[in-house]
This record gives sequence, C-alpha cells and structure tokens, in this order.
Amino acid sequence: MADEGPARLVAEHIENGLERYGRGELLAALTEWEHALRLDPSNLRARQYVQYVRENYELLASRFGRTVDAGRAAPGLPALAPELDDDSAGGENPFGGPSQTEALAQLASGWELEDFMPERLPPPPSQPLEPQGIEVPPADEWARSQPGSVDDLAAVAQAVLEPFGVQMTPPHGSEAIQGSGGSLESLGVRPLDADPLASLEPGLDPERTRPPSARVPKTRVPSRPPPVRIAMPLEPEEIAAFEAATVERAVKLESAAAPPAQPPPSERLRPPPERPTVVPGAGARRSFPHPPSESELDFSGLLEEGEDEAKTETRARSLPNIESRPGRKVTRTPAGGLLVEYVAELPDEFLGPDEDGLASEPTSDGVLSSESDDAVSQLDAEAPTLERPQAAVPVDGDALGPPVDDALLGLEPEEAPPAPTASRASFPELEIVMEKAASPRAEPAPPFARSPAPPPVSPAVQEIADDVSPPPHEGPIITLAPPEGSGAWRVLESDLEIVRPGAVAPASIFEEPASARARDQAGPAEPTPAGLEDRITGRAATRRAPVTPPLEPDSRPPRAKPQFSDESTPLPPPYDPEAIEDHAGEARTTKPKGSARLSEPGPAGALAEHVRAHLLEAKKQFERGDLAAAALAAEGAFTCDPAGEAAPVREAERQLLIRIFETQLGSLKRVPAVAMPAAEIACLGLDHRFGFLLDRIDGATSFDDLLDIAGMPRLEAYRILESLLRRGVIGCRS
Amino acid sequence: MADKVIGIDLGTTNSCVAVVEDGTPVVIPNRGGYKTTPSMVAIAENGKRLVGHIAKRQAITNAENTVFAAKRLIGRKWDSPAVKAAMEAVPYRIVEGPHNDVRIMLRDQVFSIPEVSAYILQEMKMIAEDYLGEEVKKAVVTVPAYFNDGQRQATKDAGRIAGLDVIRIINEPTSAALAYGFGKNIERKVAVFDLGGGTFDISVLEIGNGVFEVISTAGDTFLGGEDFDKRIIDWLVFGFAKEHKIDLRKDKMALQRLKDVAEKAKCELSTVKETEINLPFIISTGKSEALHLQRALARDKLEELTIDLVERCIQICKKTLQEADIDKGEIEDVILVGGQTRMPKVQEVVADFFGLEPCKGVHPDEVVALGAAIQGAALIDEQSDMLLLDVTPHSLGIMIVGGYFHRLIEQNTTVPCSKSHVFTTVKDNQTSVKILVLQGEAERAEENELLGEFILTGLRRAPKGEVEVEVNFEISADGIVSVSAKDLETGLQQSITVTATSGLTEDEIRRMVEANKDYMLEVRSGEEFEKHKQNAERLVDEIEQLFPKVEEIISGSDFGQDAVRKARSVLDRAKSAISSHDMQAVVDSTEALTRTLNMFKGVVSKTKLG
Repeated sequence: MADEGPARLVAEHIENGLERYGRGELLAALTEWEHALRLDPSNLRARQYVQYVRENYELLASRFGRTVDAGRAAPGLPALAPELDDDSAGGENPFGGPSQTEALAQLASGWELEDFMPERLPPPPSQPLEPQGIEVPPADEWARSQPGSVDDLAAVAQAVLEPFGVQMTPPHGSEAIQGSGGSLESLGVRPLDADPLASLEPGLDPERTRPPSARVPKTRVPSRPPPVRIAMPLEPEEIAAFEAATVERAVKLESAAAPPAQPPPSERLRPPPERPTVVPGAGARRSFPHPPSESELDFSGLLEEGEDEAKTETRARSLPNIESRPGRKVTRTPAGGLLVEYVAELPDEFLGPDEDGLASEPTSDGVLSSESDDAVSQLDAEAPTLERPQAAVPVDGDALGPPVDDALLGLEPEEAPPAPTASRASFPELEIVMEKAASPRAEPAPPFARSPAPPPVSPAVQEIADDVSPPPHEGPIITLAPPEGSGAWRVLESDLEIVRPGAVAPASIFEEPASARARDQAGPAEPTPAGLEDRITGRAATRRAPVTPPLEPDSRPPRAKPQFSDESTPLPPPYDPEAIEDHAGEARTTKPKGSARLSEPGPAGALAEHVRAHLLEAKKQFERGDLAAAALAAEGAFTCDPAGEAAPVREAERQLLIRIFETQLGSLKRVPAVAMPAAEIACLGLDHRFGFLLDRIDGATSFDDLLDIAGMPRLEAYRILESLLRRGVIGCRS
Repeated sequence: MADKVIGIDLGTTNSCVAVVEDGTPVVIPNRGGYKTTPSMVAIAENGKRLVGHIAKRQAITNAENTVFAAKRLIGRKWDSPAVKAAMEAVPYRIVEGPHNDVRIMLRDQVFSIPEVSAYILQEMKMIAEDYLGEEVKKAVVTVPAYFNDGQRQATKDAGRIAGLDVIRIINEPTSAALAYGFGKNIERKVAVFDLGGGTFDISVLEIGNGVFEVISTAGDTFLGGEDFDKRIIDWLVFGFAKEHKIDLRKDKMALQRLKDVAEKAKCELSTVKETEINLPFIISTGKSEALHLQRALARDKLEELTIDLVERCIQICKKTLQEADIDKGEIEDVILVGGQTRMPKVQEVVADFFGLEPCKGVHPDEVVALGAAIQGAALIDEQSDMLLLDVTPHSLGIMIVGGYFHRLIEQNTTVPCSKSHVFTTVKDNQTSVKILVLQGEAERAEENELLGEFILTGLRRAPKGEVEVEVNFEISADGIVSVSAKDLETGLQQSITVTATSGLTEDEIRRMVEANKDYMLEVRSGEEFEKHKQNAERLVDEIEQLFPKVEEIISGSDFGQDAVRKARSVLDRAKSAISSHDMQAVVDSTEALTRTLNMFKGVVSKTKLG
C-alpha cells in the first residue's frame, strides 16, 4: 500500500531514536525523532519524545554526560553541534550566535551580521528526507568535512542548504562577508534568489502535495472522459469484424452488468409487480408503482385553510377500472378511452391563462368548469397516448406496476425517437461505443470532413452505455458510427489516434489549418502492419495506469496494443485529470501531441492545450447539467497548470468557470465552517493558499466575504473553496 | 420617548459601541458576537466596502487598499510631521487634499479621513440599530485627550457623514473615569492607564462632587498591542527560519496568518499559561509540499519578548507624573483601559509602579464606550446632575515680538474659560497690530498650530510701549475659541472666532452625506433582497425536490398535468425574478411558490396515506 512507506519510515526513525537514546546518544536520538516529526507532524509519539528531550535537555545531558559533551554522533552521522533550545533560558541560537532575546532586540534595531554568523552547523539529517522533497547529501560528505576547518564546515553547509534554496555566508574569520545585515541573512543564510518565495510554485497541485501516507481516494469523474472527435471511415470488413466482436462483448457485459430490477424501498415488502404486456408498436408507458387510490388523485381539499377556494377541473384517462364517485366523473370516449373528470382545488396561479390559451372560469356553483369543447379536443390532440386502444395495456390493479425494462431504460417508445441498437465494450485502455442506425436527426460528418460539432450521441445509447459499462474508465474512448448513406462504420469519438492504411491522418477538430497543411505536406503516416487494433495507436501508454481494477481476463477481448504515434497525428489531450496531473510537468518541457493547434509552439502552448481540453469538458458537462463533473473538469484546468502559465486561457472562460464553481458552492451568502479535524486536514497535502483560505473560514464569514478577503484572484478563490467543499474539508450552513 | 444616544469609542485599532438601557450601560456586540470592532476599512477587488473584522482579515493581503489607524491622520494638516511619519509607516497611499488636508487613495478612489472614519462610525451605528431595533441618530464619541480642535471637528464631521448627530465629543480618559465612577459617589484622584492596540495614554483625573477633571494627560502614539503582536510574529518567524531557512514575512498570506495567530495567542496567554500555535500549510516550498508551523508559546516567553514595551509604558507614566507635579502616592485608583492591559504582566507592573492593585471593576475594552454611553444618557436626561468638565488639550496664545509664543490659556485648563492679557506696541507710531492666534506647547510661534489671525487698526500714533492693547481669549463649552483685541485707550475692538475645521468644506461634507445615504440604502435593500431571495430559493428547492414525486403520482393518469405545467411556470417565473434581481417580482413569486409548495406537499402526503 502506498501509505505504508512514510509510516514505516516514521516508525523506523522513532525506533532508531529510541535505540540511540538507550545508548546515550541524546542528540542523535533527537535528530531521529525530529525527522520522524517532519515526516509526520501529527505523530504524537515523536512529538512527545522531542518535547521531552528539549524540556529536560540539561538534565539528560548531564546524565548522558560525556556522550553529549564529546558531541559524538551515532554511527553514520557526523559529529553534531550541540542543539540548543531557543526557548531555553537565554534563547540560545543554534547557529552559535546571540540568544533569541538578543536577536529579537537587534531585529528591531537592525541586525549585525557578525552576531549571527554560524560557528557550528546544525546537525544534518541522518536519512534522506525524500518524502518532503528535500535532498540531503550523503552522510559521508559530512563525515569528510567534520574534522576540517570552519571553511570546510561552510562548504558542507552550503552543500546541505543549497537544495533548500539558501546559501551559507562565510563564517567568522573567513572571507569578507557578503550581503547586507538585517533580516534572516544575519542568521548566516542567504537566499540564492533575491526572493526565495518567488521561486515557489504558486499553484501547487493539492494532489501532488499530498503526502503519500495521507493519500485520499481521488474523486472520480462521474461521466466518462470527453473523447476527442474525429471523423474517419474504416474499411467495411474491418468494421464488420470489429462490430461483431464488440457487440458480442457488449451484450455479455450488458447481461452481466444489468442489475436485477428492484422495487422501490417502500415496495420491497410487497409482491413484485407483474410485468405488463407490451404490445409491440403500441408503446408502453411508465406508471405509478401502484394504482393511485381515489384519495391520492383527488386534489380537493389540498389548500390550506384561508387560501383561495377556487377550483379547477383536471382530467385523467387510462384507468379503465376507475369509477365515478363524488368529485370524480368517469365517462367513456368514442375512441374507447376513459375520460375522468376530477374536481380539485388549485391556487390562483393555476387559474390564469396558460401557454395553451386555456382558461378556467369559476362557474356559478363555485366549481371551475372545464375547458371549452375545443380546448378539450385540443388537449386530446396533444396527448396521443390518450387515444391508444384500451386493450393495448392491461391496466387492472397491480398490473399497473412499472414495466421494469422500460423503466430502467427510461424509454417511452411512442414519444422517443427510434432507439438505435447500441452496444458498448470496455477495455482497460480502450473503450468503444458503437452506434448503428442512428436516428435520422443525427447527421454524422462526412469522412475526413472537419466537423465543428460532433454528431450527438443518442441519449438512449449514452444511457445504456452508462448503465452497462463499469465505472470510470481510464483508457481512451472510440465512438463508432456509420457514415451517412453507407453501411460502413467510422470513428465518431476517440482519444486514440487512428491511422488508416495509406491515408493521411485525420485532422483534429482543434487543429489549425496551417498545421494541417503542414502535416499534409509531410506525407501520409506510416501504416501499421495489419488489423485495426494495430492501427489504433494511442497515448494510453503515456498515461498513468488505470486505478480501477481491470476486467477479468477471461471476459476481456484482445487488448488493443498501444503504439506511440508520431507527430503527424496530433490530437488534443483527452480529459483525464490524473494523467494530466502526472504529466503536467512533462508537458511544460516537452512538446506533446496536440500542440499543433496553437500558433505558438512550446511549453505554454502545450499547457494551454491541456487547460483548454479541461475547459471544453467542463463546458460540456455544465451544459449537460452534470455540475459535479463540470466542477471536476474545471478543477483540472487549474491543477494541470500549477504555475499558472496558461492563466489567460482560463481567463477567457472566466465566466463559465465562475458559474460552475458558484453553482457548486450554492448561495454565496452561505456560511462555511471547517468540517474536518485538523489532524486530517494536515494530511491532505494542501498548499499554502488552501491553508490561508481555510484559516479565514471561521464559521461566521460567508462565501461572499471569503471571496473578498481571499487575497488571491477571485477565480482562484472560487476554485479553492469549491475544492474544499467537494473534499468535505468544509461544510455549509445557511 | 427621547431618542437613544449611543456612546462610541472610536479607537485607533478597535471601536466599541454602548448604550444605556434601563439605567444600565451595556456594550453592544457586533454581528460576529464580538464587543469590539476593528477600526479598519478596505475596498475589495470588486469595489465592495469592507469594514471591521472582515477588513482586518485581509489587511495584509490587501494592504494597499486597507486603511487602519486613520485616527492618527484625522484632522491633521498635510504638512504636519504626524502625516509625514504616517506616510512612511502605512502601506496605503496618502495624498494631499485640496485644503491642505490629508486624503487616502484606495483603488483609484480618493477618500477623506473623516469619510473613512465615518464608515467605522456607520458600522457602529448599524450594530446599535440591529441591537436596538430602531434607528439611532445621536451619539457621543470619544477622542484622545490630546486631540486639537481640528481633530475634534473632523471627528464630528465623520459622525455627520455617517448619519449621526454627534452631540458631544469627550476625552477618552474622562469617559473611562465616568464609567468607573458610575453609580458611585467618589472623590479621588485616579490614573487612567490606556494601552490600546496602537497608542498608549496615561491621564490623571480628579473626581469630586460629580465633576471629572483631567489634570494631566500624555502618552505615546506609536506604542500599543500591535507592538506586542509583532514580537510574537518575529519570534515565530525566527524559529521557522532556523528550521526551514524561509522568511515567512516575505509571503503576504503567511504574514497575515501570523498576525492573526499572534494576536490570538497573546489574548489566550492572558488566561492560560501556554498556548499552541498551529498554522498548517503556512507556506509552499516549491517542492510539492507545504510546511506547517507548529509551536507552543508560554506566557513567560511572551513576557520575556515584550518586557521592554511594558517598561516603556512605565517610563512614560513616570515622566507624565513628574511633569504634572503629581506624586504617584496621590493616585488612589488606577483604571485600566485597552485590551493590552489584560496582559497579566502589564497589570503586575502597573500595580508595582502605583503601589496599588488596578481597578478591575470595569472591562478594559469596553470602559470608554460605556462612559460615552453614560454621558450620552446624561445629556438627554434633564434630571441628571452630572457635570462633565473638559480641559483644553493644548495651550492657546498669540505670537509676540521676536516670533515667540505667548500663552494665554495653559494646557489642561478646564473649559469653558476666559483669559485676558494686555500688550503694548513695539514700534514708534505703530498704528496697527496683527494678532496671530496659535495653539501648541512650543516656545517658537512657528512651531505651533496657527488657528487664525486678524488685524486691529486705528491705534494712536505714539512711542512704542505706550499704546496698550488687551487681548482676550474665551473658550466655550463647545470648544469654540473667540479671540478679541481691544485698544484700551480708544475702545476700538477687533475679534475673531476660531471654528475648528476638519479640512472639508460644507459642500464636500454634504455630498459625502448624500453618497453615504445612497450607499446605505443600497446595502439595506440588498440585504432585503437577499432575504427574499433566500426564501424564494428555498421554496424553489423544495418544490423541485417534490416535482419528481408529484409527476410520478400523476404520470399514470395524466391527472393534474396542467397543474404541473403551471407549477413549472411558477418556478420559471420565480427563477427569472431571482436572476433579474427584481425584488418586487421575487416577493410576488414567493407567494405563488408557497401555495404551490403547499399543494405539492398535500398531494404527496395524501398519496402516502393512501
């Protein structure tokens, strides 16, 4: 497990410390425990030991006597300078300078460099502090320098401190001291840069800063990643073979994945509803789980006392066994249907003219009359299901239970367009959605045509795919659909690169014309030996291995062998926050595929491409109404660019991002409060901006006010607040 | 029933508001539950005005646009040394006003100092109004005893801009003594030891027969609780630097957090012996990690870090008593004022110095505001026999030959007062004399503040020293200074009335008053809209939650389809009203939403029953 590493390291440090303590090596023990504490600041054991030693240092030192005085170090460690407690009497400086009190006094009046020059160095770390991202030179480097002069010590100190971004100034008696007095330079440290903080990454990715021991499960994208759409015909035989395999696979998956129809919780104690007989072509309709009783459907008496007593009439049909009773009148229509007239009391706002132009006027008896005959006929005309022959659906009693399959699929055949036969297959690195005989409304782009908007995937297909496929998929996605007027399949969506034999690689929809022309001039891509699988080349291999467990080997079709493509098939990076996070740094230094879209080459362009992909996904999800996915994608647009180099790209979509985050936050007048124990928060691996905003959250300051006092760009503050809320670090109250 | 009068302690660092209710003075807590509100004003990135705690919480990260310690600038002239000193000490931009006054530029907008103070007073007014549930129009505001007329007038103007009629300006030590002596019949000499957030003042008052008289006052305008905080910050920064070689002061966010936590730790150490300072993710190292700051601070350590500051206070006390020729043995009681005096070490040192335990009957943070509220109540109570005497904060006089300053009214003279002096001409055949009215303590006239000047002409031609001119100074209870010069031989007379000015013209003040009214109207209507909006949103949420159920109930029968359609229409109208910020439409749709919700609830509940 990933969490075991640092925990084990901490335990080792603690145990080593105890061992050394037992041997009387007080300082070495203290060093070990301090290392443990650095690795895990919340470790109570380590803290207690450190505190104990510090508080009782003098006593322990006198007990251990010679060991400490001699400054003898533990094996593997250089001789140690005495570690002095700045809190002890006089507040001695561990660098051998003046006391804390003196230093502070000088702080006010301007420090003297000489007063703080280090004469001895602090003890070096005994083990590399890799989990903290700190490099420590090998212990032997220390050992070599220990017996040496002050200059040697300074050299060693420089070697140690360089990774920290600081530089030791020469100690007493050596070369002329550089730098001006004052501030921390007097401590004997001088930043390599004028401002050490300037070199910090302002937008550290929380995921990356999280200590391994505290890694929390990532929030997954609830919907599948956005595929990149290309239009490309495939050979019919290839398609046929592919179709057969994938359809077969999809059918298996569907049957395996489809959960048994469960009645709603309130219905579980009842006998399962009888499956209604659906007459082909007549259509089926989802109904109330159990037949509404008279009281359920009677709207009379719903208003509170004192409210308007105006009444209106509502009608319902399709309940053949319903009978007339007071407040309800049942009549049969000439078409064989039932007309049920109810008397209900409704508020005023239901009485005014509606969009249909229907008006209800109170009658002399206080009951609103029904619409005019014309209106009734209009109503009937609007509801074709009402004219359905009564025999089409047996509607007696319990038979009105939900038609399970249709309910699951959410289909209403008589209203919905013809459902395409759809299937979907999933592989660890390859996911394919096949769509056949799409509805006539779908207008797939012609082969090789650059389509500004990809053809819509049928909602039904999408729903099937979402239902059947295992949850979030890490690999690339291909959506296949037949081109208009032909039976051949083509790739609608893919985040793989597909190389067609002897053909020019397809242009990305994101690609600039100039780039496409340049690529065309470069000639066709090298075809792969044989078979479609071999021609599907992707970046799957460059991604992080999928976190989700792979499918069982026996149920998995032959895996598409990923092959690294050349530069001639640029595609924008697919939406995959994890992959992008992992490769964000790489993307800044190497030109990734897909960067051809940007006019300016280089790291910024690559990053911009990443950010843009996230933004596109965010927009798409937001428009679909999947706010959580939209927020996650929006978050990705930030985390993939920790240095903020592609900020202008985000700024261009500022309004969208703010809307997404704002929607997730809810009303900005809401007051957030910290909802997670401090110890857990400390393990989250947040960066200082998260820490700052968390510090502002006091249970009395609203989101609105927090945005005002965030001390960072508003968009960034939105993002951080949303992230904290999503992770459960904070909660809200109105 | 007479209007309530609130008492406001307009402090350099924090402000406090109090009112007398049923004869008992009470401090009014703000919306966050705190009894003091930081005297800070900021303009956020989106132009929003931030006042009080919220401004303080971003004071470092938005330092250029956050005004603090405006009290140090109020009523000052642009060329005064105090302004020059402030310009070097504060991060916000101080610019010259059109009347040789001081203005502040925040996000390209220029604000006068009374305007900034008005925002604080207005916040205090709103706090009081929220508490009392009625509009507050009158206030008594406190100022330091050393404030000159211009500063007092500027404070009054600030109150006016805030929509308050400042019926009295009183000195802070006087106010503290009022609260201390409230309900007691005491006759004694007391010292008011006021160690606030940014300033230290020591005053000696004589209380007797219901009369409160300030005998002497002095202090240090750059010594206060913030200096104590700074020591803690430095200690934390120092420790962190030793461990990580990073100077936290270079990061604004880190420094803001350090400042907050330092103040908190300091306050905690007034009651506990040790406190834990914990600042997770204080700074990112650039190596994909953020560092935590975690230290324990003991009270002893804090005292060690700040002992020199406490000693400085005592030194000022010694000097003040010496200059006022008061033996500390005469002091019968010491009143502690200001949050910093809650520090045990301060109390201990004060007790040692004066040889008596400081009075702990009144809360240091609240005592000044309570006194102001008492004074306010007394001013509107005709039956009150309380007499409040104020003193002139500075000496008043005229310029005499050689450019020297001749005092007619000495510092700390109780007002109202009047004093005359006869001068003679200094040249032969001198027919006119120019009277320069000055205020201050310096021997040289030019080093004091010029309040006004006038010329007395028509003097008889005579050898020098022969013509006598009597100059008379008179200060009313309202602090208005009248100076007259009279030729004793001819009876010719000229006079001048010195009215303190804040540096703002009447037009400017009126314009600011109007602008502020508009702002307040906007704020109030915004709050009102927000209230209705939240209600409407809640109803919309509830209806939308019920919608699927209702639709399911009626789906099998088409029953109530039109009702559902109309319900949908109600929802749409409500959403549209909310998004268009149309308050009336929101209010209207709220009623429809309520009825729709009731109907939906009825349908669902009846279905469940069935």
